Amino acid sequence: MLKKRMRFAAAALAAGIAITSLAGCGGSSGDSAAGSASASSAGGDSDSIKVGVVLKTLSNPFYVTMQEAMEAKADELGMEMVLQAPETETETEKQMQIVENLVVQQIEGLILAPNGSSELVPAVKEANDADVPVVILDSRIEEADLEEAGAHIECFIGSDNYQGGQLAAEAMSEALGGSGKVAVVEGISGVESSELRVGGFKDKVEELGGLEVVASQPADWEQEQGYTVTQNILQANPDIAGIFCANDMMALGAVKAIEDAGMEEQVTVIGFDATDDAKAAISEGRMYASVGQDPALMGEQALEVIQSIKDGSSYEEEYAMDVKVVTADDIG
Amino acid sequence: MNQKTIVSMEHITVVFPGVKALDDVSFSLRSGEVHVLLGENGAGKSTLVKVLSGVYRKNAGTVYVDGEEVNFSSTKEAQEAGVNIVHQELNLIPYLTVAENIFLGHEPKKHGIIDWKRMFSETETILENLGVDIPAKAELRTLSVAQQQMVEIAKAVRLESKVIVLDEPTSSLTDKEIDALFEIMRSLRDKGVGIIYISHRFDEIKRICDRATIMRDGKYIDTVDVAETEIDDMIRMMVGRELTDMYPKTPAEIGDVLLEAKHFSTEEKLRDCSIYVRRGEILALAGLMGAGRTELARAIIGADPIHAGELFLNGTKISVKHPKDAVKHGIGLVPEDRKQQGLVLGMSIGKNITLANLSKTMKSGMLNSRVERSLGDDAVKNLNIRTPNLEQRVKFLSGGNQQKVVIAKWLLAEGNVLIFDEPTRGIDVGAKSEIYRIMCELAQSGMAIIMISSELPEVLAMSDRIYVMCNGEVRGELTREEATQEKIMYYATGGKDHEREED
Amino acid sequence: MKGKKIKFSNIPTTVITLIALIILCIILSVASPYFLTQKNLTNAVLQCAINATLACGMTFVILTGGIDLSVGSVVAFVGVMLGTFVQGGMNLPLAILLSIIIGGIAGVINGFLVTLVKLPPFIATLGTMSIGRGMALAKTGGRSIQGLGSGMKFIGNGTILGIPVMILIMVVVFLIGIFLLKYTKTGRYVYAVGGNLEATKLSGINTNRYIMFVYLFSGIMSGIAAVMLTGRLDAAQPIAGDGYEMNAIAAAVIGGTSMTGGEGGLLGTILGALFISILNNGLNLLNVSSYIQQVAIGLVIIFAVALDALRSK
Repeated sequence: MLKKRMRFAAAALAAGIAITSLAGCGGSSGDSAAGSASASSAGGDSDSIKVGVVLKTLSNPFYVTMQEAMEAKADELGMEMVLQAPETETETEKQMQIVENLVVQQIEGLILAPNGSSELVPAVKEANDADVPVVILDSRIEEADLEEAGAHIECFIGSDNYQGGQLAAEAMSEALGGSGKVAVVEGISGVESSELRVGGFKDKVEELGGLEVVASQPADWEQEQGYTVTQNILQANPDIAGIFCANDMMALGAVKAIEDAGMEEQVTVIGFDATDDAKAAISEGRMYASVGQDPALMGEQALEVIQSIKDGSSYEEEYAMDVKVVTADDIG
Repeated sequence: MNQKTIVSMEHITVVFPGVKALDDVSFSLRSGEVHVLLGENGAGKSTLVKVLSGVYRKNAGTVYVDGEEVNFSSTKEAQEAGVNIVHQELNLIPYLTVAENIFLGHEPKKHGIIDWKRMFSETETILENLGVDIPAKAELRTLSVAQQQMVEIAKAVRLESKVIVLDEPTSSLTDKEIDALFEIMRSLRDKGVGIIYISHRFDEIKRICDRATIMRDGKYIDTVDVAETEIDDMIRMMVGRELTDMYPKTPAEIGDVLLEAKHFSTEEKLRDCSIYVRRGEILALAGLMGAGRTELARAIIGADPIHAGELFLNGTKISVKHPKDAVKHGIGLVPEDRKQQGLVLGMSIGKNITLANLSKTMKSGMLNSRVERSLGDDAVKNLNIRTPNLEQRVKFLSGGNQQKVVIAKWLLAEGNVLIFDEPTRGIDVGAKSEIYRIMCELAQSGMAIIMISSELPEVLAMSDRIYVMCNGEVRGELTREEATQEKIMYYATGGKDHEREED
Repeated sequence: MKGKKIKFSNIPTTVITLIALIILCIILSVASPYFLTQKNLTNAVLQCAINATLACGMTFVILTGGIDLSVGSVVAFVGVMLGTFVQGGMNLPLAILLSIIIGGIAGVINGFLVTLVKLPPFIATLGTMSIGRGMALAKTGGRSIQGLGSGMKFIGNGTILGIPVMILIMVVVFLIGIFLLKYTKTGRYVYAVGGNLEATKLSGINTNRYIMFVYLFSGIMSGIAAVMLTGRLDAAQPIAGDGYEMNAIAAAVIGGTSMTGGEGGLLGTILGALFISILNNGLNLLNVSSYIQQVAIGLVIIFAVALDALRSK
């Protein structure tokens, strides 16, 4: 009987205990990659601005870099920052849920890196309705869709992805001596940043002449898929000379596939984002180059815009952060 | 002949909860003989060989193998001592090759890995010595049942058995395959192996067996020389028991033919079976296990497809392709395996009772729990189902009460014909009587009852008429007056109608 | 409790789930000042509407001892079909009706594979899961269909008498489901088939018909969920619904439905769906990362099922 009662007690409490301990674990691990941080120093300050940040995911180092920079910047500005992200860049509805849950917490500004070009319009609208100013980061939301829904954003901060694709094409042409067969590994189809990077690359290739794009396949931003897609491309085009990947995760997958096929002497890989992992691969000579965005700068800029909105000072409607090609020479 | 005794079992007693399965049974086996164990279902033959092969532990008595006292606690120990059992239900693995099955658990190894070459070549040698033509690399499932049986025997041979137990090995074999099997048995016998054979077929027993030990109700009756004993005498020893008064048979008015099955045949088992049953009649389908009685019942209610055959209800031909058709025509089955086929164990008593006729619980197009409860309460009261309430899940009921729930279900379905398959198996004595009483009452109310039973006393006491089946055929028909245990046994073990004319 | 001894094993699973849910809510309202606001609670229920709808269909399937892995993919496929219809200028109610019918057809295909082709449900729906996803991607070339107009937005974000439309849809779906299970023959047979297929068949019931029904029902639920999701995002994504089947299974299992069939019910499922949603919502409010949320859900599933196993001992 005692045993039964103990089981009951355990039953009734265990769920709760699990929650509280997990909550504690999440809150105290502000500096871990998975945990998301709030600037605790400013937490109790009623004057401090509370900002909600929703990134695409934290399983891509690009956004982890962004997260770390934003945490430091928020501390500096005396902001309280609440940062959350879904597991993968395909989870649109999850981002929507996070936004809803943030708005309830009475945030005073929302920074959103949307997983989709118009699916998050209702989320923006939700923030608008609660008078929360919205800054969109990294990927654009269609202006027309916003207008149609009666939603609006304060500012867009992104890299010039099209320019980045063009730079990648120039670097590729240079590396291959002006001619050769190349392939493109795309991000998720229909996502603006992928379309622009790939578009910029292909347009420039055509303009330059000499290079020939023989394959262009999506690998959904993921390393594992980048590996598989590259494997298939190599199979179909054994004489390929270069591969451009629309982000570094996929590029690292491509590098691995090329190495496993023993074709590292033959194929030049250029990625995008210049993440730390990619830079390491470039300095080891496994990868040729990556188009560098500066996630830290982008994140910091977003927080500054929120601050300006609150202060009533002026800010641009759009910031296109410059990109540049990072090769082994740049890393040194 | 210079034969020594290799197995000697003395005063063996085995007690299962509530039952003495073996009561002071003694048995001995010589090397180089085929010794048949004879007895009705439940006489204790299987229990005896299971004690010998280490499956069951004995409560009293002594077992000697080769003169040494043994006390096997597992089949593996028995195997090591040279005792192997070839089960009625084959213990082989369908997706492994013949060789892998024969060597299962004893794979020859070289440097720690399986030596396939040796395994296949040794298998081929064994099969060749047995004179059977089965490829060692064939997957077991591609073989016929007879060939699988041979593989089982080959497995026993490979283990250099001194004693091989064959439990009804011929029940699924053709005549030709039986000949081959007997050839192997003879060659093993000539090599000095002792064979314990369990079978009900007297023609085979006469052909192959040297001695017979007869058992009844868990007791030892006699051991006889097969060549010098008449079949009738052996049958008499098998069945000779007194009827008790636990069968409350009450007469019912027997009316017209209600259900008639003509020329039923199935791919696997049934061959041209024709039976009929009248209103108010309790009809028994007697026979040994595997005679095809359950198959016939399932064919009649449309649970299994038939190859040929027609079904008539009240003289009108009906089409029954699925149990739902049978239920529509008022034919229900109380299956042998209540738990697997008769009841939804996790459901309440009330819901089980209404399952076959939910329409009765509907009120303005919806299931009505009040109506359902009152129907359930009535059934519980009428059939005397002992339970605290209708919400009780049937899995918590005793066997007898579970059986009553199944019966209650069919009563609510308002059937005309109810088929009981082994209605009292696994049910305690008190509940048995109640089931019999219910059967009689149903017959009196004008229903037709078909009772499949392997218990001869039950068949003789309860039925108005009896069909005896053997090997998927209806071998004989007996009225209540002319039926005796001997006559039923005669048909059940393969006897034919015209031969009986002589006695 | 009034000196009366209540046997733990006799408390219905639904009550345990409810108690756990209440405890969770109490803890969360202490831990976060935002939890117990009307807006947040509405959000939490809203966030469970799609999963709950899918879980409703899934519960029927699981009750028969089956499983439907295809629901997430069917949501995506139906979504892009709906998107195509609406963009093509089709009348909205007709487009929605057609979409739900397409979901139903997907369910019938599953049911056909399970009953007539006699594939194990896991395999059959694993196959249709892949087919559905592939067709959704092929139909759209991987792109999402956007800007579906005010009607769809109303479904996703509108309210009737202050109550979000999505929540109303969920409530109606559950009322229908509960009615089916409790007051119709179909519901009773669904339990019986899952409890003992052979015994049910021998009781004269056309078991295949009811197995077919549960997959059809689950397909229709996927169709409805697709309409809800498309409305919520105001876009139809071919990659939508990824992993939704697992959330639906989790809701049913947490709610006490047994994977072997024959036991459980929709009351438990809605509590299970709410539990998952409120747990996610609460962990969001407490700023716990999504990875840890996954860990929490996993623990809850294991705990709920282990508890059931212990209780039935």
